[in-house]
Amino acid sequence: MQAYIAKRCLLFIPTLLMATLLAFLLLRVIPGDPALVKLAGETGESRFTQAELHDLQVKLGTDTPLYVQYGKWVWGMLKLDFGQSMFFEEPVVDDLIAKFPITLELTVLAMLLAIIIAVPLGLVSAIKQDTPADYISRIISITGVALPNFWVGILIVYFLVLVFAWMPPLGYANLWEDPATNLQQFIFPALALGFFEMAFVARVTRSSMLEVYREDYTRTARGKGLAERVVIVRHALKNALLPVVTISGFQFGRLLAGTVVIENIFMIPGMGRLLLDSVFHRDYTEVQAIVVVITVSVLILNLLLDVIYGWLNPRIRYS
Amino acid sequence: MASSVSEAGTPVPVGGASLTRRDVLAGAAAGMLAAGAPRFAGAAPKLGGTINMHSFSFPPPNWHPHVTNTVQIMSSSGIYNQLIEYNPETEDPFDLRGDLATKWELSEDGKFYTFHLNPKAKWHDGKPVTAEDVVYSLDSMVDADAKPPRVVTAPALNPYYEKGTARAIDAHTVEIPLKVPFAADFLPTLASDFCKIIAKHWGESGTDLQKWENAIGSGPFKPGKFVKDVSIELVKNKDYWKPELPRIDGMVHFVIKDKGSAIAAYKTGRVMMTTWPVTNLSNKEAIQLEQEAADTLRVEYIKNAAFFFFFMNTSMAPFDNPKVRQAVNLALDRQALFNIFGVPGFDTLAPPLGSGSWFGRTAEEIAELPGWRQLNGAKHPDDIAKAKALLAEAGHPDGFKAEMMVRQVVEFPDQAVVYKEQLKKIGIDITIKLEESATGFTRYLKGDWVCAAQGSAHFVIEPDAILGRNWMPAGTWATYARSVPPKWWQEAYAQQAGEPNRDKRKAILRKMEDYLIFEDPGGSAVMYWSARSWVMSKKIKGIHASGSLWGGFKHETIWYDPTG
Repeated sequence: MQAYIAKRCLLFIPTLLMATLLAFLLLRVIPGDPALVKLAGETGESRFTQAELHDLQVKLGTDTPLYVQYGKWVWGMLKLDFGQSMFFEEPVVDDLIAKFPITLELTVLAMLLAIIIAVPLGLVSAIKQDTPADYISRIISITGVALPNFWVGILIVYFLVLVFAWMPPLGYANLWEDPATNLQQFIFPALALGFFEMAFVARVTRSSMLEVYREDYTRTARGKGLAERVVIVRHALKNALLPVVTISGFQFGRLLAGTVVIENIFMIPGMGRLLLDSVFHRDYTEVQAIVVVITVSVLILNLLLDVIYGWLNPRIRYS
Repeated sequence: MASSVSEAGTPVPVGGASLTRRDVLAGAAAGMLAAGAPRFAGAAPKLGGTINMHSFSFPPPNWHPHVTNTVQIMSSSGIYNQLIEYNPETEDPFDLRGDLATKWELSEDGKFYTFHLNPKAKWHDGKPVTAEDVVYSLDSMVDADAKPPRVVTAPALNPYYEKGTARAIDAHTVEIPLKVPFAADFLPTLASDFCKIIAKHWGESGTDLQKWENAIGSGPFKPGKFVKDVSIELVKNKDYWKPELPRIDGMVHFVIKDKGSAIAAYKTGRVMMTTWPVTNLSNKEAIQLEQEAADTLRVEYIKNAAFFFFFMNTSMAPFDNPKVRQAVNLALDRQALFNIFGVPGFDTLAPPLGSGSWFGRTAEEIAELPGWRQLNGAKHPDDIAKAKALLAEAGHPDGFKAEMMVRQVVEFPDQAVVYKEQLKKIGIDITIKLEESATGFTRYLKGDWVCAAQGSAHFVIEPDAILGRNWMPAGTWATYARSVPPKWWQEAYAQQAGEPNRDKRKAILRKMEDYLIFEDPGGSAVMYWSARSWVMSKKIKGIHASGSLWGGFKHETIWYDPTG
């Protein structure tokens, strides 16, 4: 197992390098100039000279060849120096420290909500196959898979306004300082973000459960005279959830990406919103750093899930 | 129609009559209203409360008021004062009144303004505001060597003020020489929220002047809690030198970038007004919002705040030929565009100098103009025929193909589709190329574009600013268009700027506008003038929209009426 983990960690290096290179190059392919965005202002009302633009380009380091910019950035990262935001001219690491926990909270809450709703939904759907409960469950899960999360987010906002004349409080309340307000601010975006995940997991749970439900060991457990509830929970569900663990790792990356839109709709000041703003501002250093953080998060989580999977399923042995 | 003089002694453009030097001097001598004295009619203002505002963007942290762009200044304006200001307490949008200045005079020869400061004015650190501070501020605003550059204040004030020429006569009197004697648009420019007076001792202190928490002004508010990408708070300056002001305890500017979320925030009362009238809501959306929440919301308008135009790069073929530009100018169906995008009653179908002001044409006059006129409710056929003839003379009898670069902001992409259809009638085949806004500006700067859909907001709604920004060679849009008007036109621009007689000035302006209508629109073929909407709760009192997009946002007179 240790050798497996070490090997996986070594594989992080080329993966990360590839991610940094892609992020770096893609940003440079998009037309636009961070110095220009900064000088022009939101409405383009400012007036400036080519010399002033050049001065800012020099200050931001965008006047140097691309390989120099990339080398400097990667070298900085090796020293855990993510550089300065080109738009805000503040250390990028400050933003990451402030924003990552917010996005992580939203993502984890979305995942928790999704699993809490999805597993019972999939379970009921499987054990009550071809009944109205199954049909309702399937309609919900198909709807969830079909609807993009930004649309779900918008619908939730309109629903809250039209029905309750209410929307989550503005600003950001820290989870540990003001949990009640924090929950009001996060519960609905988490629902919107996790709706697809919920639907997907429900469908996987259902099909996995249907498969496990017909396995010999389930029949044996039932034949031993165990109560149906025990058969379902201890024997069938435990095994049916193995694929759910696998797809959750994949879904985590998807949820992180989904925060870009959902954080904007619900005004959550996390990393997703910062990423979108930074793209518009052509804030290269900020976008690159966020891509690295997301990549590392997904890599680590997938490794952890592989380890957990091995632990849950003794038939799997990593060597 | 008679000209009027504001209570603060400032000439106010209310009609077509001339404003003489005598008027200006009489107004200045008429005695100025004590700065900040509240005079809003109706219920007595209530004190207290914090107002949540909607801001559409979170700005970069360049909070030095002379470095800021629009979003910053609208969020931080209350920290500072100007010498004079747009009066937010009257319904006359062009009424100017003293802010730090209690009164001011223009010299007999029109070459000097003398401003008298309120001796009670003091900075947040308790030190008095002096004439030296004003001199320091004016020099900072136009400092060509300043870093970061003064991208807004320098172009706005440069036509009127030369760095190093103002002088402090005594502690509370400052003399400002004018580059252009009698420059009538100097005062409206100086009244804009960008022209903030800053403390000399603060500017020279060595502190990081761009940091929010380091800001020291003399204004009604002090910087409060600053949460990046979330909110910007201003708290009441309890030692404010103007009595009984500010009326509210503070305000918080919340950043709401998503349009739907912004509408939801208004409907649920989470926000009570927009920070300023440029937001992610269009005029039509603002009107719809007002209708849907008629019991709680109202909308103020800054009329003629901007215009939309068909933008041409005059250094690129075929728009390097004035005949081609004039053909486009004649062929475009402004009424059709207005019917789709304009809001009747607020937006105006008008040529480069607008309508409804002392210097603009009347609606009747505009209805007869080539390019604007109609016949039986449709585009006038003579204009189309003339446009085709001009194209033929320019060597394009069958028209030509051109790429239209369109920044994906506000109404531009939709307007581009209309332009494309309209220009087909004279054989111009437009291919629309959508660009993200930052990319669009890059292409403008490089000159790597042929034509575009564009709009221009005016720093102040006065002739200098309107013509200077769009047609004078140093103007923002003229620079992007590489547009240079004839020498006589540029000389006329300088002449009108210093002409104290309003009738004479109007005559010069009319001649200049005629050139843009009848001969060559330069880079900017104006389509229609647009108002900007300012959404606010009916519980917000003590404020009216000014005549400038960048004036009247200090918010010291606002008060909150919980009863509505």
